[in-house]
Amino acid sequence: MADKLYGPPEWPPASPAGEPYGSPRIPRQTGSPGGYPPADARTAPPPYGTQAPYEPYGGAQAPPAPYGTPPGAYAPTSPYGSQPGAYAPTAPPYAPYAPTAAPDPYAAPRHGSAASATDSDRRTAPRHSSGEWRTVGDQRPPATPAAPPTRTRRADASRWHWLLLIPIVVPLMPNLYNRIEPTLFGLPFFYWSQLGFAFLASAVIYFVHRKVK
Amino acid sequence: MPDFGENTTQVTVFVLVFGAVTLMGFAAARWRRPTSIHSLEEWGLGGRAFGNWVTFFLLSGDVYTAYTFVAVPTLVYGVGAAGFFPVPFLVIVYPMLFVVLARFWSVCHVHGFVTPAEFVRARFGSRGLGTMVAVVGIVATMPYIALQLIGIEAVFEVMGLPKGWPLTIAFIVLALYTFNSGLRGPALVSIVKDALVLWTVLAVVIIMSMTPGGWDPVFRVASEKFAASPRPDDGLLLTAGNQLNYITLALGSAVALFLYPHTLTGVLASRNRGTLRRNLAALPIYTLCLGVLMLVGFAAVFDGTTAIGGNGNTVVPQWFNENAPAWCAGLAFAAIGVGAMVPAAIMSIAAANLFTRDIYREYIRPNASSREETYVSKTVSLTVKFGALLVILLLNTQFAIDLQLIGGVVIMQTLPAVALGLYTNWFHRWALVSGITAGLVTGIVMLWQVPKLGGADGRTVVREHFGGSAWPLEKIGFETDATIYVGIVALAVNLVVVALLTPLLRNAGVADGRDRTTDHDYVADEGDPTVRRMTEIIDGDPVPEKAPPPANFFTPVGHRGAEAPPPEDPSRQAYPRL
Repeated sequence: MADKLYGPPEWPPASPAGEPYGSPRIPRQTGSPGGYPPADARTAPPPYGTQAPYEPYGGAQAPPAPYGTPPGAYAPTSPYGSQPGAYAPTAPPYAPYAPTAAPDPYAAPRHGSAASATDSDRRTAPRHSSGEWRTVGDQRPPATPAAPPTRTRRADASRWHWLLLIPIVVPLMPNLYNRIEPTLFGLPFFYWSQLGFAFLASAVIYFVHRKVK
Repeated sequence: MPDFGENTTQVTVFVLVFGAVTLMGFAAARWRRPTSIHSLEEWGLGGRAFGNWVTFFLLSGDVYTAYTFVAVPTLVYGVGAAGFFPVPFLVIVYPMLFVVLARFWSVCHVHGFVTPAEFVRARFGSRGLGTMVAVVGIVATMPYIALQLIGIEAVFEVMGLPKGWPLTIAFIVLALYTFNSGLRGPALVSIVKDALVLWTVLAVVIIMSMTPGGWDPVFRVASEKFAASPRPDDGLLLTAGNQLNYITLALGSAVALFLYPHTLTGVLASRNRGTLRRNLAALPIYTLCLGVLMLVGFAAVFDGTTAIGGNGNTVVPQWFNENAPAWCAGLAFAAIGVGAMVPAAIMSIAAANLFTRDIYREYIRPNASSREETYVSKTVSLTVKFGALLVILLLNTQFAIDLQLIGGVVIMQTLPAVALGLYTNWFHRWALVSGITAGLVTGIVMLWQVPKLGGADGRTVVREHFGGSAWPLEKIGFETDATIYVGIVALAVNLVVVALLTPLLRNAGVADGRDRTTDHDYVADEGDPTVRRMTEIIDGDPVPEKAPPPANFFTPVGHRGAEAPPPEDPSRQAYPRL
């Protein structure tokens, strides 16, 4: 086989017949007069359901998989089946694409998603994740698409840190130690107890350090 | 005025110790020397790799300054229990630091920050806010350096030396070895300082144990003295009027200590988070030393020591001079003298770093090379020290004390940006700027309102303004003689302004700054690939940097035969310069 260059014999030829070798198919937007790229690269494309239909992959392939579709239900087990370049038309009807479910990986991680949505000077996501054409990530179900953004726990957070409040609060309560008796080596309680708090602080900090480490 | 001739032994011991310390300071530049000292991290942070012991000495030398050793026992001598606040302050500060400092260490080591102002600039994406924090830091640090001179001055006065030239010589020596060795100088000298302080504390304990009756008669005499004095706020215990001031002063001083740039400089030089945290567990024990020295105030009451020439700070040195053998008193004087050198050096380095990184590189020469930065920092540290010397020699000593009083209140206002900023970037940058401004105005106005009380009964107004930091609550209508520390009130105003303005500004659509740090930056530890320049310099075995073998015969290798010099400054290559 002349045009089959690499791979085991069961693999199909790398380039379909009549195609020049190695030229990728560039999707085109049929609706826009300017074609590709869109006129304003900073605006995200409209969601799938509201958009005029176009033929991705030169019209030869099925439209991209919607988010949330299980991979088994959609994608053929091998894109290079018996008929390379043509998908089986038995793909299930797909739900409207919801771009809000996709986290913007380039947004700065700031206190909730509302602020990043209103920031107009935020960089837009690259076109690959904008849903305009299918990417590898689209075939994978998103990890937790429906989960609301939860507060992530800090990596160094620990309940043991609350113990540190003891040596902070106790020395700040003078009614505990503002007295003469009992004395120690002649020192009034006011003085030797506050010196003793140093040992308390040291012990608590060391304990917490061991527990947190 | 004591005669110099009576104190020859003390002066000899002092000069000997001081000479040895000077030699050490200069030799420190060669102490585990790296290949290149011409980078600001090398000079200003000791290569960022001090281990457990050196970090302990450096931090204790940084926190327990000579002025503390001299002025606080004087306060105890004067008013009793109310002067004991540094002990709770230096106890509660360590649990607070334990939570915060490790995060600060990590984010600075990931991004190559040397100063807190750089962190603020990156965290809140605001150059103006960063500059504000830097200026506040410099303004607060400079009078603190001058206070160290006051500590040395008291010792010289007790030894019978004149005011001018001994102080000048001491500071020229300090300035030169700081210029030469950077942070290594104070780190090495602080070991001597701690040995001397420990000896002084032991001397106090021995002297008191040889006193018939031990501490018992000391406190009996002191309580009689306080009972006889007409002042309402003195005594062996806190009165109802000064309890609030006692705890707010302790709390405020603890907050301020974390925010002072020189503390953060010492912290950043430690090798990893574990080193830092172990040290914070050990440092409260050092507070015991300070506590024992504070009890000298009572011992001075018992022995009837009086201040020399009306300078209250001479009480402690004078007590040593009267009650200890001459050589031992000389060692105690040396402890105070060396104890002033170490923090003064670190403070001048911190102030110089603030200037270089946040003003010079930001506004004057943005593309300064690291060699140039180091040179600028060294020069600024010299300037700062001589400025402090001039303030002490030419202006009134009281002026420096007033400035330091203001400086403590001023530095506290950076708490939302620096300390809370380590945990959240919720604050809006302009809200932070407004908060600092509001806090500064409040604090300075309140300090201005506080009169200096004096006289026999402590009720006569000696000076109208800037007389202290205890603001009487009766000014706002409370029927009480309780007072509160000004800094806490100013900080509360600051926090309220920040919390109110942040949602307002955000709703008004004022743009937030961009946060250049990520969550991981705050927990990265030594060994993390994002943390750079840690182990190789001071304590650990140096990791030899081998040039990779040439890929083929024609690859230019450069520096053939010699060790390849490190690239210009690796800490700036992973992240953009801020």
